Amino acid sequence: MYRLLDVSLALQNLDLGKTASAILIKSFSFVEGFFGDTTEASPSFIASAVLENSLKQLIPKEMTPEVTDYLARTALRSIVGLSPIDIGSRDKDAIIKLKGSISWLTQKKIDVTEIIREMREC
Amino acid sequence: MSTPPLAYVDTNIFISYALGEEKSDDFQIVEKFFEEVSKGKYVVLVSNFVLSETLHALRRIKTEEALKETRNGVTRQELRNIVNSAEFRKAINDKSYEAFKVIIGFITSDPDHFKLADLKTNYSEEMFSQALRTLSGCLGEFRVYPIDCPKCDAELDCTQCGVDCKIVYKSFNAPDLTHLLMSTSLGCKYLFTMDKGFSKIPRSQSQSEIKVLSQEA
Repeated sequence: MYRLLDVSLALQNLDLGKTASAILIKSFSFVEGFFGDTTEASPSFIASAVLENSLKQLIPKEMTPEVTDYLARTALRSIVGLSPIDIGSRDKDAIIKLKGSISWLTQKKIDVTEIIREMREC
Repeated sequence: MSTPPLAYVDTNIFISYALGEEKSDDFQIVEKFFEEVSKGKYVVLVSNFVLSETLHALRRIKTEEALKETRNGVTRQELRNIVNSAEFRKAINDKSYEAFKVIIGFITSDPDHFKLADLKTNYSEEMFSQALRTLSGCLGEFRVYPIDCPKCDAELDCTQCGVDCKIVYKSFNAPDLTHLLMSTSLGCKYLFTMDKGFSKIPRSQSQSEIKVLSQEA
């Protein structure tokens, strides 16, 4: 059995109002209850699907560009199992931290462009 | 102060930058681009299509490296036993997925430099029809390449027919055009890539301006 990601932080940050928050909580509770007894389903995939489906039900006035962007970031993080972050947090150095952040992945220097090219031609 | 233009960034740029100077041949080219982004010249648009390719590419990188790390003379059956083992699958997946998570972590924590594609964006069949019309109107190039050993990169020749090379059809392709047309749909002024093949796409096919990063640029 698995647990879905805790979305309480995301809901607090969104400050969507009672209706939208209730929709999200109801959606997550339903999915957790439905998949709670299986180990096969991917929690990140389901969490993402719930967020995306819930997006469509939110009240338009609550969907400001900032909220839309935040939900997209939260949905993406949930796909890979990363927890939600504060809506106001901005790591301006992340673009620098990204540089060389996965150098440990491979031992040798590689031609990335060629690898992607071959991938697209398969 | 006006908002910087949106730049659709190709998969090869993301991975090269994240691999860094010691592991990517093209790092220095992309480093300049990201310096411009950090100075506010562009905002990077991150599409889920690019991220999907990124994950797939990371898995391929680890998989190809696995063969290079095997002992010389490894047999086909030995390789089959290796790739069919749970340990091999886990090792490849754990490393590549961990790298993917690192990239996602940084991208999603910096909304000033990285903008995610709007989840409500719809792409029409007309977009792919346009891609088909473009491909129908262009014939690429034919090239002859040596056949290289996937383990040690030495050039090979067939012991039966003596052929030591292959003919390859080179052209921009459906995935390339999909990236380009998506960049327009997502409101990007530019599409940045390191793949020179993009420069062959007729300019009339997209509202996004194609920028091919290279040492000369």
